[in-house]
Amino acid sequence: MAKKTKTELATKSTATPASNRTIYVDPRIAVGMFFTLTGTILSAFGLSTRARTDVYVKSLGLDANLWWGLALLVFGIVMLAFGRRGQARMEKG
Amino acid sequence: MPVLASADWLILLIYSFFALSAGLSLAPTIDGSRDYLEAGRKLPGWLCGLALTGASMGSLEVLGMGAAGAKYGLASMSLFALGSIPAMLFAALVLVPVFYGAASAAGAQVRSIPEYLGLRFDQKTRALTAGLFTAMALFTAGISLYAMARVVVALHVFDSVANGLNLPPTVTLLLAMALPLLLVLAYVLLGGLAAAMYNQLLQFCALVAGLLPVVLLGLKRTGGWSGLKASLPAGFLHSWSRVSTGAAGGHPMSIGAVWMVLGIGIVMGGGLWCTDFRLLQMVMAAKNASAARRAPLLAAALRVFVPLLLILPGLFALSLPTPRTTIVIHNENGAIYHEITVVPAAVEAGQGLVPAKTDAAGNPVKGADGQVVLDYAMAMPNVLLAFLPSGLLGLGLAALLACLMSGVAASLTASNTVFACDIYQAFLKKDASDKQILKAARWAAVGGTVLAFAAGCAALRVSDLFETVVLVFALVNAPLFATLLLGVFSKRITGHGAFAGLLAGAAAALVHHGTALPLGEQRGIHGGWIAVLHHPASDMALGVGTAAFAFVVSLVVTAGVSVCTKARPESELAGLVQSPDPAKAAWWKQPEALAGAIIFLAAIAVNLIVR
Repeated sequence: MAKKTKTELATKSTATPASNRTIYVDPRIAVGMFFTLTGTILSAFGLSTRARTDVYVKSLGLDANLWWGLALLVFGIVMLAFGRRGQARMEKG
Repeated sequence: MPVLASADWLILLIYSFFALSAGLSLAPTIDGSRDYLEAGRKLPGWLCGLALTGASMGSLEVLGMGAAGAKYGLASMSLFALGSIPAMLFAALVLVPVFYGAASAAGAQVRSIPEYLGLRFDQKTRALTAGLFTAMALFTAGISLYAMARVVVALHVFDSVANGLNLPPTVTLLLAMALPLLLVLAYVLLGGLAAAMYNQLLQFCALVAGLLPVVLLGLKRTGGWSGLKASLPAGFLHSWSRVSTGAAGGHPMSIGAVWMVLGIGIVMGGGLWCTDFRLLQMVMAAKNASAARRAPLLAAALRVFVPLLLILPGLFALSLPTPRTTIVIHNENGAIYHEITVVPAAVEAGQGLVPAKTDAAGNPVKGADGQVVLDYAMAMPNVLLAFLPSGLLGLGLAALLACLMSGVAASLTASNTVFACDIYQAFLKKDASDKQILKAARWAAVGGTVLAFAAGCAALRVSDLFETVVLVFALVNAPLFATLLLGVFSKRITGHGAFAGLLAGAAAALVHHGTALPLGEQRGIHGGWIAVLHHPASDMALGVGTAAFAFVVSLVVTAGVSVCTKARPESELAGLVQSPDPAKAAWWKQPEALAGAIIFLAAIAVNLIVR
């Protein structure tokens, strides 16, 4: 699932020839992937337990898993989009 | 008893996997010691700011804020704001440019605070600070490790696993300490400071994602703000009015207003945000000077709101009814059922969801005044259990675990940097190659892990963890802040002065702590172990007083000894002392100053609204 964090190389010239390759990993990608995954799991879990009132007594009868899962999913996708844009920009130079 | 559902476990495992994957994906970027120790100095300002926020919310802070909410009410919100925002703005505007820009005569940029002190003062000051800092960082890491592991075990969430494997309770506790620690060590060894900072970003997001639903559900359950107000003892929602009177009994915290501003605002805040390398390392990793200045500004802006997330759950803990052992008898088709809910004595003796502390036999502990001693650290975790349905509970627990890991990671990376730069390269092997420094830093991380674990095990025998940490802070950070402050602003301060000031400050902290005892406390870690000369109002007041006394003594001794010794020539101090740069606009005309002013006003506004 997380294989995509393995990033491509971005070349960037620096003073010393020994370290003339700079690898950039945009931190937002990992955050985006984590929340996309968590959001999906939470909303799926929320959907499957929707009918069970005993699970949601704590959250006042609200299917908190479903709604918060969807919110996290949206957040994750937005972060992923920003992260990929940032990554592409760094790789271009 | 709460048992984790498979969805909870899945989310916890996914979080751990992502924590490790940050290390794996960054491992190829580590080419030399600077990549490992200061993330190559190429990170954007926003990441440094968020990592700074994440690192400043380790397990002690998160449990402590929930505890403070339950113990002192919303007043703690103002105290956290007072104890951080002015100091962060001061750091961003004045100190960070000096630290970030400092470089040796050969042009090598400074990697750590002790290294800066070595350049500004002399090698003995560097060695003293490096030694004290490493010890303090690892000790605190061990305590925070234990504090969180104890909570995790007390929540019984892992009981099914522990029972399944037939583990005795002590082994479960040790495992709860060892597993997160090993995970942290793995990603720190792989990716160094950068991996720690990427994880702090993830932790910060997870913390918000895990606690925001608690706050929303809590407000709904207690009937909104007014409902919360009605369900709490009077005075708990007044953030300023009661504290500032300072009269004994006026407010649960009872510290005089002047002391509060001086002690918490300047000494505690400054000691943490302006000198503590566990936090400043995040700023030193920024890609340029302006990114470095933006990082504390961003962290300060977040600091205006984030404490609400952590303090409100503490308030909810008090506003809910205390669980009681109940017997419900009901009749179904002629058969009579007795439904008995058994609640442990310690929970029943507590207040709201805050249980009482227990002794070895599991009985509630009573203080000297006959009142039950409450275990406030459990406030936040109990609220998580009370409000989050399984599924979200996994995310909430992942957030707590994340706080533990990122706090410990900050201690590990900071102490391995200080060891590699200021002990290994400075004293043990002066001509060390870059590869050797990198190796030393990695071994220091391994050694630091072992020491932190040992400190955590030692903490098993100590019952008052928070007081211990505050005392160590007063011993190390408060005097260091005084000497740094003088050293950054005045060229006249000398190495002998700084060295004497640091030692005198630490000694003063010990003396103050040894001669004061809060009312109703036992002599020992609560103070008074030399002789009881005066009685501060509370443990909090004692901690603040000790730090403030150490700060003032260190200030006076540093200045006094410096005047009597010979100052270094001004040419040697270029770039190490704060001096107005004629090419740049005066500092108050720069955009950062404006941003700082806005944050400061916003902080005041929020604290006025939330009253």
